[in-house]
Amino acid sequence: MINLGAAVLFTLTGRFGASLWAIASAATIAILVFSVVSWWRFTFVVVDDELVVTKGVLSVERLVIPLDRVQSVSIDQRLLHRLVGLVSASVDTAGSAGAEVEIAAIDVATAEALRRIASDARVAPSTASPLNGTDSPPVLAATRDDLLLGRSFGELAVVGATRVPWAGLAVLAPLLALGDEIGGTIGLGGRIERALERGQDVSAGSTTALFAVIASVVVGAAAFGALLQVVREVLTNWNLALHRTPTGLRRTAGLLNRTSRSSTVRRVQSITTDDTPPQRWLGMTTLTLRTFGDNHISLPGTRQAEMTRVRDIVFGESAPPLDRRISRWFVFLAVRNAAAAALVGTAVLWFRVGWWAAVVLVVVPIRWTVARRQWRLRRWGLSDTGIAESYELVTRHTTETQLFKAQIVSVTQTFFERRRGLATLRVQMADGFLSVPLIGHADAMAVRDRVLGSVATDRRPTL
Amino acid sequence: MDRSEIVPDAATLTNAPISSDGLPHVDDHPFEPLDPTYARVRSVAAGVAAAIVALVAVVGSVLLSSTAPLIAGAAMMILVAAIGIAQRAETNHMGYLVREQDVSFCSGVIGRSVATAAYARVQHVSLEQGPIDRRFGLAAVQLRTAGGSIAIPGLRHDVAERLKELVADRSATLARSEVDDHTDGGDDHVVPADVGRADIGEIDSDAP
Repeated sequence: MINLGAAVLFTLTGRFGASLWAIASAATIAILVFSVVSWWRFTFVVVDDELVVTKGVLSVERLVIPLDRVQSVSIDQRLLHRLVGLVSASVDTAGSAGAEVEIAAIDVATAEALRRIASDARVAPSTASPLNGTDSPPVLAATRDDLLLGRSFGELAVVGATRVPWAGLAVLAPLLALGDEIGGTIGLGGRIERALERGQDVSAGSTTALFAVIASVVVGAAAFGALLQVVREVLTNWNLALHRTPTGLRRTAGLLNRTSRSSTVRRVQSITTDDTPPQRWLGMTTLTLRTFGDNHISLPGTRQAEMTRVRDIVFGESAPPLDRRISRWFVFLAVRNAAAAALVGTAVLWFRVGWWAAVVLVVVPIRWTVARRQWRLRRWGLSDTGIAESYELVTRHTTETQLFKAQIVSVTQTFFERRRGLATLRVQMADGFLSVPLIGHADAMAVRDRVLGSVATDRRPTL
Repeated sequence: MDRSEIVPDAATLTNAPISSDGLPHVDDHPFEPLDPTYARVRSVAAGVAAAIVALVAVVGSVLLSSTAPLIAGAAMMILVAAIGIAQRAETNHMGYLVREQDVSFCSGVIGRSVATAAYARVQHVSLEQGPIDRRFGLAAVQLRTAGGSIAIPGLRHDVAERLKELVADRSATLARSEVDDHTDGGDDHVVPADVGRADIGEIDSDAP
């Protein structure tokens, strides 16, 4: 809040001068007052197995959360928090998709105590008296959390280097916006223009030189993007570690922003993997445990053995085989849609550039080859207890879930599918979904019935 | 209804694998159609929308004293009328099916869709009535699960009430409540010695 106010003040006074100074300062003061009041009003207290939080400025809100409903307490430390030695804690319950309540800045000891209290309340339900005599099992001291896996700097660097490099360049976008301002003030624009003119003189003579210039620009951009990805990976996942706790899993990571995300095992709705070809060649993938809520547990650079171990803990069953395909009509549909769009584009451009507009039609064979590859690599599969799917173009993505975690199952048919006896199966979990198009209508219905059978007979909780 | 009929008892629980032939098929039974007056409800709703569009067009043309808003309004009304006709036709293809373990809803004319929610996953059920529904004595039942919801519109009010009662009753027995015995697959059953709550005491703090 305070940051926003300061930023608004700075930009406005810098640009527009005194006439808006009054408005800007008034707005900042209002924001400051609001922040102070909302801080004043925010209190939290643990009393009688409940966490009671009071907050609100205009209307006061009082939240009472029974501690044995708390599924996880996530502790984050952003850069600003680090500077003042505080953390922010968010409390998740089974019913909340996001954090039920977020305590913005408290000291580490309090946050850890809150987490410990919450986990104690879950493991030993309040109705069980610790003094209960003969029936209780021999009590064990709370064990140190088991470390399941960790990532070193080298591993993170490899993961970053093998990601798609151009995604890293997106971080430059705001800089480009500002660069206009900055470049104008230091005459950078003039210098770049002169350099470009020199480059053009060099390449004006031969087309191979032109291609060389373009190629070097592309390679340079890719290398720079890869470097940015490495930096990003190392910063966000520094000292990544996954621990097994008495109540579930906890993931800690981060150099500038330290995050600590924990989740119970059953809150995990699905397991997904994402990898690029270089990562697959090196035998690693990014494993993500998608949980109900925002705290997905993401583990880059996971190897097969670690993945098996994590899957055993979370699902306890082996993965469904990815041995089924979708209908070959997928290719036809993709090409048909591309052809329709290309024809429309050609027709529109024909009025501008005449017969050169037909160049747009080259999109169609390209789409055909791409669609053929996509169809070849699109798989799905079913086991007694689970369902999985995978698709790939450059990066491969797989999703896997257990049948009983389905919340809503639907079988839909577009007009195209109906005429050919195909259907789309969609399994919706508490977080995320799994959707397989263009499979046989009877197959889809059979899988749906199997999912519903699993939901009815499997008594395990889904959240 | 006897609870043991619905929920398998731990002693009698069997979980043998079921081949596809042995599973109950959703499409063995025809879906029950919605109440016929629901089509009229949709027509009325479309008519109201068209009336609003007409009103806005007339007011606009009066204020701006030109015929352009009227033409735009006429075009919008044709669109609204077309949508209204399509929606009315769609109600002939909507249906619902209530079974022992789940509820399904099918819809769609050009593209068909069947969505199914099991009682074991239903978190709550609600009965909804818009003003037009109330005039015609219809209601909609909405089943909400953790992953979304299914709404069955166009039911007669008493049918909707009974369906809501049925779903609420079955989901109360079948849906897993949060207060369970912590027997999670994979969680260690560890009871810490000296539950530290007494030591830590209360945490009382005003925190920003």
